[in-house]
Amino acid sequence: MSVFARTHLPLIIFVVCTFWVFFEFFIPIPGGPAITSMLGKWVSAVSNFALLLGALNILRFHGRNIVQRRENEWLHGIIIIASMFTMFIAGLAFKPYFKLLYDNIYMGLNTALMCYVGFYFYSAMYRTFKVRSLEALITLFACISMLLSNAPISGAIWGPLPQIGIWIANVPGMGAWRGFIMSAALGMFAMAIRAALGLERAYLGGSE
Amino acid sequence: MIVYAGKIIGFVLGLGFFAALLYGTKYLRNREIRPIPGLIAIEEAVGRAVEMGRPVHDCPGGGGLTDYTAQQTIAAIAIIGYVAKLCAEKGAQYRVSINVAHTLPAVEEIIRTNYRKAGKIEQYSPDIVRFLPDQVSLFSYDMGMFEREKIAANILVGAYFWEAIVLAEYGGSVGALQIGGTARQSQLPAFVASCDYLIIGDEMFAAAAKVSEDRAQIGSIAGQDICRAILVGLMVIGLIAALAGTKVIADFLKI
Repeated sequence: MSVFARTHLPLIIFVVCTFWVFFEFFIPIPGGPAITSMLGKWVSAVSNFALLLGALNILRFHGRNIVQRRENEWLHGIIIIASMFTMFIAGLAFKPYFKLLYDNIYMGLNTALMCYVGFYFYSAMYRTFKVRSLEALITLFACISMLLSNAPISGAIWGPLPQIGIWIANVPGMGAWRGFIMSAALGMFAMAIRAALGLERAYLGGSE
Repeated sequence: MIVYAGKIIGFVLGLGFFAALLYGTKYLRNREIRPIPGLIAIEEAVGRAVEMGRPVHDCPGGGGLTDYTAQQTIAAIAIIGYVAKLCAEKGAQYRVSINVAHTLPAVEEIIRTNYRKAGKIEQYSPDIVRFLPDQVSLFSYDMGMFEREKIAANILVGAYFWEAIVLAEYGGSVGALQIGGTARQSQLPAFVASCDYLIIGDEMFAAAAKVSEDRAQIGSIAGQDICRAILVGLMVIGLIAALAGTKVIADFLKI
């Protein structure tokens, strides 16, 4: 692929689209919202094409593991590739079976694995609760207040207890969040401008 | 009306910020970005991985390039490039797992480019990048890989969703040195609790500019500080006005 097709053309498309969306948001342009909406649909279509690249990556990586009989990997590879083709064929030719497999196998496994999140939040919380510094002490106090204020029994323990947690969340917590969001949003705006100016090219795979 | 009613000040501020960033890229190129502890820790983590003979794992999170997480994903890809270069130079094994298909070409390309820059293209393998189709398959595969390969470093910088806590906690359980970073406020507590070093919020964008070693990008961060000063100024004036019982600043911003 030529350098123009690999780096210059995507950059031109990116710059034109970025400035179009920016100006169309602020300036009334006849037919502008329709074009912006169409751009959004193109984005979905183009990004879905990339799924093919993902499938190729899976086939290449796990196919090699199977061929080379890599320890602890090859059996896993067979299951992944077989599952992928089963779902692909069922989705194309046997829709009811696709739904059956999706609802009864994929969703079940998905939900079971999601449960990890709950357990890991507790183990992370346990470590956070170890007081090693003033910041950790403040975090511990805020966490206990939030936990107690959300517990149904908190009002019975002490009347104002639920209000303390709500105040921590809505006043100091919200203030910190808003500061964080504004700062991050400014960083995102600057990153978008850097990309639109062609300075940041990571999304094109970097520059030599 | 040239600009929609209610968006005039937003438009003017947007153009002003654009001008400030442009000014930064041209005239503030000689400024330096302060040391970012999370970024410094990446070099330490790669060195540790080399000494231990174990891999470095990197993940740009569940964000993509087509939505509001795009800027974070771009920053994450830039940092992946930096880590790839360090791994190539020091001879560390590198593993990258991603679950957004359209980021795959950019991630593969930036790693290949940085291995080439380091003069170690022969060490590059397409198997460095592993695509997992969704968040659950990403973390379930990664958990197995962390356990089998006992990763030495876990770099989790990008737009993270609920996979953040699982990857960070499991990485910690295998003894990896962990660097977490995101501009998604809902996932930051997970990294605060589980990671050894943090790249918080817009530090991530500054880190991406810093690793590029491009003076124009570093200048744009200085330009960003001008914008930040304007915003802080507006907030202080707005606060004083509100305390004085007038909504003049709030009304002005709604023009």
